Amino acid sequence: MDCYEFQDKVSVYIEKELTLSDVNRFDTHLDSCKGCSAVLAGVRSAVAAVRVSERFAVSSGFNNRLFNRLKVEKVKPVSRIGRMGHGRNIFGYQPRYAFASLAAVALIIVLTVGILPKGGETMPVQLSTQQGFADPAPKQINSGVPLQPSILAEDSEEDSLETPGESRRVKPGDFGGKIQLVKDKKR
Amino acid sequence: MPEKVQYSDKELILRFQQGDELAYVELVNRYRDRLMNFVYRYVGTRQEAEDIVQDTFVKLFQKKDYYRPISEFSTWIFTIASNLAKTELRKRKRRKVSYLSQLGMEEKDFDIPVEDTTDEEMVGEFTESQIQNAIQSLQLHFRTALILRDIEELSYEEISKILDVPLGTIKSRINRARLQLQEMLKQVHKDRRTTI
Repeated sequence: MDCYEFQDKVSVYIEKELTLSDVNRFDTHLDSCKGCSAVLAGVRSAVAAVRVSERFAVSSGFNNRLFNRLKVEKVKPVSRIGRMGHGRNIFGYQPRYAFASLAAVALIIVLTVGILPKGGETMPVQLSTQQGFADPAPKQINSGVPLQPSILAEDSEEDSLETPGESRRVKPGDFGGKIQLVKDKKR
Repeated sequence: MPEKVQYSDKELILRFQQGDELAYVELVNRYRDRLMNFVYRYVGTRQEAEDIVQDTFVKLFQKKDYYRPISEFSTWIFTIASNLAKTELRKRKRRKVSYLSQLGMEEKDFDIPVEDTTDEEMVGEFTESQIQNAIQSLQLHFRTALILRDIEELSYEEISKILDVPLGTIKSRINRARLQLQEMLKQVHKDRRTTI
């Protein structure tokens, strides 16, 4: 037996869980190795010190504080979703997650229906986020080059703050000229 | 004179599961100090330890139906306390990191506060705080195994179940923890001799 093996099994030796042959090997090593004898004495002393060390107890009034807290915990309302189907699954989901998923799907459907245009109608073009920021004066771009009046005019028209009723509607004939141009090019 | 019936832990928790709250009180009385001793050695401060013990009993009250009689009640309650203590230490570590990050480099203070040891009771050749400091210096997984074995005197099998770690690993951890502890206490002993 070498010192590494000795140290690996020192606790098992102290607790007398070694086989008899191992105990004999241990004892033989102990007789010849002062270092391991010191380690064994040190471990025994440390374990003894820990075992007889002070036992800590809860402070007085612990039970009262605990039972008062339990009273409060009992009174606390528990959400119905949290309580429903305790330990059961709905389509593989815990009830609260199933409920949340269902709510999310419903929300997505409602939003999708709200966004899609109704049949035969055209969508009003509206930039609601720009309301209240219309600036009729020509702006300077960072480069310092003034914008062309024509571009400005077009932009201001598109970004104009119209109420939904007044918004510009795209009519079927609006692209007539452009289609004509394409046709002309083909010719 | 009526004979006082001594229920086992398992009988008490089963009675509590059936709605007998006196059985719960009895379990609290049986385990509060054992848990306090374990958790205090684990986290190192009395107030935090007591809060964790209280949380453990609140959990026991709320989750009583989760206990299955296939395992020992002591294993179950120590598992709850151990998990809560671990969570608390993790929180503390996070708090410490954020606190240190708020300080300037030169302001950082890494010293561990040393408790006043004057007039302290000696435990063998060491003081109580020397033992506590040595235990606190162990790595968490060594510390837990050592406390459960040498302070709570649980069996290796129970410790293995509480910590959910194989039996061989537990034996090895306890052995290494004891070796480290004896090294630290040897150092304490040496320091004391030099000061004398």
